[in-house]
Amino acid sequence: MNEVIKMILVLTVICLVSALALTALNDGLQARIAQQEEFYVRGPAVREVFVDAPNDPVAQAFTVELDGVAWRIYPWIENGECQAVALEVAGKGGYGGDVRVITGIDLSASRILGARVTQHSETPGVGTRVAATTYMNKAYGGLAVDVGLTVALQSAGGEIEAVAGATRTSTAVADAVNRAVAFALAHRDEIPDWAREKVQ
Amino acid sequence: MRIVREFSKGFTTQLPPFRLVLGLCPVLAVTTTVENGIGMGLATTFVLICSNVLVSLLRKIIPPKVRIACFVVVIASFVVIVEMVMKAFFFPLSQSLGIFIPLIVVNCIILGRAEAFAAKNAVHYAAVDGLGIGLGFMLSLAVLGAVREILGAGTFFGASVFGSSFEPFALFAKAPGAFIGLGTLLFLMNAFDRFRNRARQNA
Repeated sequence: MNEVIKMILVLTVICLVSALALTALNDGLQARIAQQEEFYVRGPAVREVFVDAPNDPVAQAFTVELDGVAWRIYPWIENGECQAVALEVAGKGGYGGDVRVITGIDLSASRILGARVTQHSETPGVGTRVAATTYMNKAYGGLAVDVGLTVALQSAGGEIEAVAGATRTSTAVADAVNRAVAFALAHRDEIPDWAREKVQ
Repeated sequence: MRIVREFSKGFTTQLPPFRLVLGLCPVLAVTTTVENGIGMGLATTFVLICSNVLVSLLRKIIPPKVRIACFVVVIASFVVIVEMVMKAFFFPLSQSLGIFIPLIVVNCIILGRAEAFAAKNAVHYAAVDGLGIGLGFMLSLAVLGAVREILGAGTFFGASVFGSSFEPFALFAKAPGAFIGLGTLLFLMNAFDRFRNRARQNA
């Protein structure tokens, strides 16, 4: 009996110490990791989606809090007005969890300027093919969107072609783009005001 | 001196990928460039030293029946530390190593050293053992990475070696190149050993 208690106790204490140490480290490094991700992952993705933007959408990014959810918005500002936005949204249903996608949406023309996968845990060589620039441009570049129109795969009644053999990853990406589009179109009239208020 | 022997065995009789033929997953997967090889080697060395030290310190406390579970928790914690530190300070490297950093948890060299050495020896020997094996592992990855980078991309540490007229062997940048490179290096090392033994016998 004594031995059993000792086993449980030792393992529990080791796990507890490990959890405490990792939590402390995470708290300490989180801000820096987020900053690095912005610089190396989201920044380049936003610039690729907004190739011709006259402003610097990454430097002028701002955060809006709606219903307790923080939305980070990268604005395309032309002639003092916010014409398009890029958002990073997590798509559900990937093979290895959420797939995060940056989507650029032209607000006045109601079309997608481009989309890029920023973070995923999909199978290398299978799901990762969805993140390829050629596929993302072909599937989402210039796609017309509208309020109430869902961005979805052809198998789900939409018009996006899936990557063969990577249907689940394709679905997750489409889901992320759909969420971004829904948000941008729903707040189409408020976004220029937010931009004016938050961007100097 | 025993402590010197424990250190140097990582480069000679127990050189992980070439002598023990252990830990081949990262050896084959990340050695497309020298830089990746060294980065992976350093990360593994750090985890190896830390886990060896901690396992050795706890060796009298850990009950034998749950020892593997305890070792894995210790190793996994250090791997997560490496992963977070790398993301915070060497982000491009962590991107190019990708999934193989978290996979250090299941690297059999580390669990193997914890089980076979650190759990039975004093702290200073365990630390030196971790350092030796880790540096041997890093050196192997760097050598294989250098061969593959020079042949597969025509560069060394990102700098061009042969000039623009060189057509790289794309094969060496891909998975088969890793197997061919590893196999050739193994062959050369074994051939050298055999040659040396024969020379010694004749003398």
